[in-house]
Parts: sequence; C-alpha cells; structure tokens
Amino acid sequence: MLRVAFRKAVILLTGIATATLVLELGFRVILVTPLQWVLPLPSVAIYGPDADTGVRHRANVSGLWQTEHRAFIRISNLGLRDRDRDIAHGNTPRAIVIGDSYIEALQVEWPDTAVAVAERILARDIPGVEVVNLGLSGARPAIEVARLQSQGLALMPNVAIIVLLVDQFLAPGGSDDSEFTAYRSADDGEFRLSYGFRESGGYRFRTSVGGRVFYWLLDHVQVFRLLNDRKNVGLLAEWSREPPVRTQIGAWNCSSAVLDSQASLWIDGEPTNARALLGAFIRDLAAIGHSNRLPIIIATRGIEARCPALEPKRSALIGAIRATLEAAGLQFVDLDKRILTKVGADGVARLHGFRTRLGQGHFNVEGNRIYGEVLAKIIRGALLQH
Amino acid sequence: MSYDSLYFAFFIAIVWIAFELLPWRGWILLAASIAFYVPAGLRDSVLAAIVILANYMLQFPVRRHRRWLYLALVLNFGCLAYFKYRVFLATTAGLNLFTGNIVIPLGISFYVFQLSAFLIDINRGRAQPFTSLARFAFFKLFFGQLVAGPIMRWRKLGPQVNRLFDGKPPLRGHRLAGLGLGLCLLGLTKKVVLADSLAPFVDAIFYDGPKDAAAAWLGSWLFAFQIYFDFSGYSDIAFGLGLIFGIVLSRNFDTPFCATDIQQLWQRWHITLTALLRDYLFLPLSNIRLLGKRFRVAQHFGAMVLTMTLCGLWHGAGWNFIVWGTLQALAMVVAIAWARNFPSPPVVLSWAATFGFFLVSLVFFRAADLSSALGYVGTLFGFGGIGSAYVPEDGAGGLLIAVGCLALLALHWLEAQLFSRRAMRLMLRLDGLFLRAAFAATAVWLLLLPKVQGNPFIYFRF
Repeated sequence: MLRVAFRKAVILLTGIATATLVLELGFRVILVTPLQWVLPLPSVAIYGPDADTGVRHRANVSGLWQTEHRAFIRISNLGLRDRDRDIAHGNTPRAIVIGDSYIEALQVEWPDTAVAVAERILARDIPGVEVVNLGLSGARPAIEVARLQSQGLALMPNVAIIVLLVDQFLAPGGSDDSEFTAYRSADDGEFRLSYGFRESGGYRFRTSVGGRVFYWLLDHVQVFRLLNDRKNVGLLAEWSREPPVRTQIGAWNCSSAVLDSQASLWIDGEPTNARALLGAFIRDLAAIGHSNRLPIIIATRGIEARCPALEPKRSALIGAIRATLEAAGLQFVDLDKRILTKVGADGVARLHGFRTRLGQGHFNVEGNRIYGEVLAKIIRGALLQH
Repeated sequence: MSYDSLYFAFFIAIVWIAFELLPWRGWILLAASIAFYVPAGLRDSVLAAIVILANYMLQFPVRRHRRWLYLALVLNFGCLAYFKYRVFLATTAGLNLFTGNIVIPLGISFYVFQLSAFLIDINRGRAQPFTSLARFAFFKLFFGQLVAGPIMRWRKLGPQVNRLFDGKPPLRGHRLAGLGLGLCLLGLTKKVVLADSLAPFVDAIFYDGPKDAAAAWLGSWLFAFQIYFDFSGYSDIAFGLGLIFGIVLSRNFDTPFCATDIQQLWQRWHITLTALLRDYLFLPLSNIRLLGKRFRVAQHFGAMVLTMTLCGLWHGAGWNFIVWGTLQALAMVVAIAWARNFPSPPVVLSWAATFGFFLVSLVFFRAADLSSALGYVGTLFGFGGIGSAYVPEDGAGGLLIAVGCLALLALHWLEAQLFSRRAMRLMLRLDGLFLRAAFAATAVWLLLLPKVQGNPFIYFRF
C-alpha cells in the first residue's frame, strides 16, 4: 500500500513538474517573440535590498514592466532608473532628480521619462549636460534624503532637485523604519534617519547567500518571478479587485481639506510629529547642501492649483513653504503651478494614465514630456545661477 | 466569484475534497453554489432566492393550468424588466421615472430564462416538477451554470440533479473528470492568456475611436476574438467544472467563426440561448396561424426578426443591442432568400461574407451607444475617422499585427481539432493521475498570473 501511495505521489509530482516546465518554456518563447508585447508575463524584478534606503534598483536588470502600461525597462549600470553612465562626469554639468514613482516612471520607456526629456532639451544648449534619474517608487522624504546622501552625492552633481509629494509628511507610518529608512525620534528627542529594517528577517535574508540565490532565480526563472509577483500582490488579490472604471477626464477636487492640513503643518506646525519630520527633512537637506556646496531645489507636488476659489489660501501656503525652505538655504519650486501654467486647468488630468484610464495614475508619455520641459527649465535656471 | 481567480481555485479544491469524502453530494454542491453566489451581494442574493422560491412554488400549479404559467412568466420577466430594463424602457417611453446607471443583478438574465423555460416545459408536459426545494434550487444555482450559463434545460440537467440527490453515482462515473480539468485549463487559457490580452487593444480602439478603416477593422476583428475567447472560455470552464463533479452540462460554443452562413454561426454561438429562443419564441411565433399559407414565409421571417431583436435586447438595454439583434435577423433573412433563389457561392466566399458581416455587426455590440456605433461603422467603410487610434504605419508593425490577427483565426481552427472525436478519444486514453496533475497545475499557474487590471467575464454584465 505504501508503495502504491509512493508511486502515486511520484506521478503527481511529475505531472506538476511537467506543467511547470511547459509554462516556463511558454514564457521563454513569448519573451523572445513580439508576443511579449501582448501576452501576459511575470514582471521583471527590479528592486533589491539597500543598506541606506531599504530598497533600491538592481543594476543591469532589464525586462517588461506591466503595471499601468507595458514598457521595456532597464536599470542602469549604476543601479538607477536611468541610462548607463560613468560615475565621474568631468567638466560637464550634472543634475540629479530625486523623487518617487512619478520620477521613476516605470510605465514608460526610458527615453520618454521626464528626466530623459529634460536631459535632451538641456543638451541642445549645454552640450554634455547630464540629468540623472534617482526616482524610486515609494520614496518618502526620509528615503529621498538617504538616497541623496548615499547615491546622489556619489554622482558629484552640480544641482539636486528633490520632487516632494507634500502629503508624505502627513501620511500614516511616517516613522516606520521596519522596511525602509524613516525619520524616528532619537534619545535626544531629535528626529534622525533610522534604519530599523536592517534588523528585519526579510532584509537579512535578501542580503544573505539565500537572498543571492533568490535574486538569481528571479533573474533566470520565469515561474519563480510569477510566484514573486503573486506574493507581492497577495494570494487573494482578485477578491477585492474592482473592474476597470472609465474616468471622467477634466474633473478635479476643489476641497480645501488638503490645503488646510498643509497650512496647519507649514504655518502652525501641527501636528507636532509631522512638523518634527518636516523639520528633520529640511535640516538634513540644508546640511547636505551646505557641506557639499550643492544647490538643492525642493519642487513640491500635490498642492492643487486648479481651484481659483482656493487661490488666496494656496498663496499663503506657498509663501510659507517658500519662506521655510529659503530660510534653511534651500530653493523652492511650485511644480503644480508650473504645470498648470503650461497646460491649463483642463489639461492636467490628461497627463496621467493611459487609454481607458486616462486621468488616473502616473504620468503617461505626454505627462512625462510636459514635466520634462518644466524640469529642464528649472535645471537650466539653477545651472546658470550657480 | 470569478472562475479566473485564485480564490475560486481554492474554493473548488475544498468543494471537491468535501464532495469526494462526504456522502451528501447534492447538498455539498448546493451549499457550494450558494457560497459561490453570495459574494455578489445581499440584494442579488435575496432577489435570486425570492425568484427561485417563487418559481419552486409555481411549478406545481403550472402543471395543472396555463394561467399559472402566465403568472410565473409575468413575475420572472417583470423582475428582469425592472432590474435590467427599467431605465431604458422609461427613457424610451419618454418618462423620467428612473435615472442613472443601474447595476444588473448578477446572472439575472440567465436564471430568469432558465426558470421560465423550465416552467413552460412543465406546462407542456416535457418536464417534471422537482420534489424538493433543494433539488430545484440546485437546478438553477449550480455554480457551473449560475452566472452566465449555459442555460440548462430540465431534460438534460433535471435527471442528473435527481441522481445526485438520490445518492446514485453519476451516469458516466468520474471517467470524465480528467477531461473536465482539461476543459477548465482550455477555458482559462482562452480567458487569461487570450481574451485579457486582447482587451487593452480593443478598449483603446473603441475608447479613442478609430482614425481610419484599418484601425476600425482591427478593433472589430480583435473584439470578435476577445468576446469569443472570453465567453467560450467561461463556458469551457463551466462545462469542465460540471464534468469534475460528474454533471454533464450543455456545450455553448462550437467554433462559430468557422461557420459558412449566419444561421450556422448562431447554431454554434451561445448555443443554449439560441436553442432556447428557437424553441420558446421563434417556433411558437412561426407556427401560430396568423396569416394564410401564402404569407407563411413572411410570418416566418417576421418571427425571425422579432426573435433576434429580442435576443439583442436580452444582451443589453440599449438601442445598439437592438440594432445588433435586428441585423442578425436581417442577415438570416437575406441568407435564406439567397439560398432559395441563387446558387450557393464558394465556401470561402460564404465564410468570408458571414464572418465579415459578424465583425461589422459586433460594432453595435461593443460601442457605447448607437451614434458611436454608426460612426465606427462609417469608419469601417472609409467614411472618415472618428478618433485617434491607428495601426502603426511602419511595415513591420502592420505585418506583425496582420500575422497576429490571422494567428487568432488559426487558433480557432486548432480549437475545432481539439474537440474532434479523435482528440477526445486520445484524451480519454491518456487520462490518469499524471495528466490530471499536469492540467490542474498548469491551471493554477495561469491563475497565479497577477492581472494588470480587472477584466471580469464580459457576459457577467448581462
């Protein structure tokens, strides 16, 4: 009886193994044919562990990105969402742009990213100029500072632009360093960069021999990528997935709630925890800028500029932000206003999303082009000034 | 629950284990079917329960007198009219009674049709009432046919339900479980790999609007295959699920795009709905003695137009659906008239005309409304573009797209071979633990593919 059970188990496992091999083969065939632009595939795994930020791009990894829009992406030799570059840049000017997934722009091909567009525009007037993309999905203010310190300064930039989503200071979990770098209150009460994730089991595994095997499998075995994809989205992800909703282009929310909460933070210093995070962020950036003689421009995003009725309130907030940053030796750019000036109130939504989801999500190709033009203008001004 | 989700696979695994280990098989499948439907929401569940209960109670008096049948039909179609057509009907009548979008209760079009057909069959003496509410509820609620068909008739499903609840083994035992797993895998491949991959391109062309005729034809061609893979994939899974649990359901598709005339296409597309409309609407309408013998042909054609127009309306509450259905009927009339008066054209030409007509008519099915559909059809025939979607102009891109489109047709032909008697025999000969494990594992792998965006089965919205 035991022999029969064993035989059955072997047959069962052989069947499963055969299915796995067939699927792996199928994925590989799809990958080497134009079918890769149509048929479903596991996404490329571009992120790996990093001691300074918790996560970063893995150098020289390439493949298809399928979230929002299918795009072939390649991580540069320096481990950035960028083209390959030498770390040294001689006498030609170099700017770096740090930001979150909007700057990272995995949903479009690299030449279509805002940073690449900015580099091309600037190169017409300033031959050899470089604009380096340090965008990273989910980058909070603490990660942006850590990224500037660890990867940004190594590039010896002439100017650094931090694209800051203002909501981040008020988002819950701002002090959670279990996965990524965060600002936490130290013994002296000051908020400092904290790296609690280094002690986590996940981080230790990813940086161990087992982790190296894990990433090797991710790079070479499609079905392993598939398992990893599923782990990331959750086993029962479809349970709560809504069918695609056709968005109404051109509608936006003119509630003053966001402005009010930002005004509390920047003007009244409330809530205190968020204000402490903001203070630490400004303090650290100012220190980095000062000690490295690096002009740092904070370009804010997420302060709705399309509501004339809220303009007085918004102007007061922008004035407070500008004053706070300039007092610390940092420069300020109101990115939302610049975009609005460029495309008009009705044009802003069309910079986001693709096709049936136009108006929702990250920048599409047109959105990246517009942001690229704005970034080019900011960088040109900064380079001329310094 | 949706068949193309991992949680459904877990659900089926649990149900299958209980089904194999416990003696109350009918009750287990009934409980599972209820659990399958409940996530649709409280309103949908309560409505389905009320309709099923009312039909259960009406099945006995319906056998005795026809007036009870009329009452039952008014109840069933009243429900359908209210929950699916109230806004359309009120707007068409110029009344401002209902406004806004309505959310159609899940599967209402299917269960109303199935239950009504069952009551008519009872009244005609072609079906027996179920002796218990559980059996009756299972007849409608079985998760293999609940949400989007196949629309099962009593003569096929009724005896199987009774065997199941009587504790008798299924007619074909579990010999077909391997075939069932294979069908589930085929259906999942059609849905997850093909239909969902075509969806973004179709959405893009219909959303942006085609710029020229090439883009319009591409959109229509891709949509034809998207909806075919989507719905026939669903039907394959439903059929396969039935076989896994020893229940043989009806086939809903038989490679319709290989048809060489429009009637044949409709005998191969959504077969159970076509058969139902034929038996309960078209034939009665054709056979009523309304007109003299000389005009019987006209009555026949009239019945055809009415049947197919209602078929269009069944699919959706909109003028575009009505036009779509009417076009099918008119094409049938033309095809019949042609066959009576002219020699048959070569097979290839017949096939091209049939498929070409279906592609054009599908625009009315897919477009948001009648005016966009008319604009799209204009673009199909070269009367200017209505949007910005275009086919890449460089030779390589255009060639690849053409090859891809032809490959879809080739897949359709390949599917016809898969369902051949020889292939089935081979499948049954190879059936065993190895093959079943391989099929199940491949299906789970496909379900693991994270979906970039949710693409529910298209027929869920009907």
